[in-house]
Amino acid sequence: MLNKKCINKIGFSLIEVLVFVVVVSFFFTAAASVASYMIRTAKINERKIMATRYAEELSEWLRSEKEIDWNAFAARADPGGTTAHCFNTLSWSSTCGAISGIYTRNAYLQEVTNAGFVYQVNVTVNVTWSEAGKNYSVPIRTTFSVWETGATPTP
Amino acid sequence: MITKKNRKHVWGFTLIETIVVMGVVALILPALFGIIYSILKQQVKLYKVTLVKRQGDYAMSIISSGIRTSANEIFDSPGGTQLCSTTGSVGANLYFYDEQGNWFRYYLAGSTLRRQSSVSGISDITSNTVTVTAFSITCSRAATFSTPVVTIQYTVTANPISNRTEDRAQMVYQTRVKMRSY
Repeated sequence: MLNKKCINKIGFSLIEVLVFVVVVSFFFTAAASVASYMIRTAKINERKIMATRYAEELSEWLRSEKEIDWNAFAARADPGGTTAHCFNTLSWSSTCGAISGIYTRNAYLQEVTNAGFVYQVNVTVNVTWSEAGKNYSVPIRTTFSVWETGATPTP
Repeated sequence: MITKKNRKHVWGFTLIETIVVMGVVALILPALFGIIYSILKQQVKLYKVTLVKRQGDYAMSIISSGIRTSANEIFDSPGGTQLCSTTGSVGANLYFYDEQGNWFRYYLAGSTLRRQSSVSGISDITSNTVTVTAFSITCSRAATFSTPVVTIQYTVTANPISNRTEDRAQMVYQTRVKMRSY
C-alpha cells in the first residue's frame, strides 16, 4: 500500500513545478525577443541597403544631368537649397510618390555663385521610409562643380 | 508480486500525461521551426541584396573610373572608325583608346561583365554569384567642341534567379561619365 512518504518521493511538488515553469518561460521569452529582434534588424538592414542604392542611383543620375548640360542643371538649384525635388522616377517631371510603396526620395540643390555664375551645386539626396512606426533616412551629400570652365571658387 | 494498483503509481506515465506532453511539443515545435525559417529567409535575402549591391557598385566604380580617367578616344573596333567625334549618339561596341594608344573595352559575356584590354587581356568584373543583364554602353556628344559623354547601364540580379519576389534581389545601375582626358 502506498503511504504519504512514498507519494512525496516519486512526484514533483507544486514549488518544483512552478520554479520549472518560471525558468522555462523566462528562456522562451528571451528566445522569442532575440528572434524578433534579429528579424527586425535584418529587415531594417535590407531596407537600408535598398535605400542607399536608390539614393546613389539618384545621385548618379543628377551627376549625369550635370554632365549633359551644366547651365540647365544649375538653373534648377536655389540659393538656400530648401526646395525639395521629388524623384519617384529618374525624371525632373517625376511625381511625388513612394518607390516600391516604401521609400520617398527627395533631392535638394543648393547653388553657390560667383559674380552671378553658378560654379558649384551642393546636392543632398534624402531617401526616407518608416518601419514599425519609426522613421529612417539615408542622406547622401555631394558637390557638383563645372570643371571645364575653370571657374574659380571664392574662398 | 506487483499488484495492478501499485504498478500504476510507481512506473511510467499515464495516457493523459503523454497526450498532454505531445500536445505541448506539437504546439512548440512548429512555432520554433517557423521562427528559425523566418530568420534564415531574412538572412538569405539580406545576403543576396548585399551581394548584388557589392558587385554592382564594384562594376560601376571600375567602368566609370576607367572611362573617366583613361579614355581618350572612342572607336567601333581596334583601328576602326572613330565614334562620337561629331555630335550625335552611338552604341554597341565601344573601344576606348588611352593617350598611349592602348585600347580597352567593357562588354557582357553571357551573364558576366568583362574588361578587355590590349595590354592586360580579358578580366572578369563580376563573379558567377550574380547575373548581369541589359548591359548597354553608348556615347553621345552635344556639340563638336564639347566632351563626349558615355552612358553605361546594366541590371544586376542575384543567382539563382528566383521568380518569387521575396527571394529576388535586383538592382538597376546607370550613369553617365564625361571623358576628362579627351
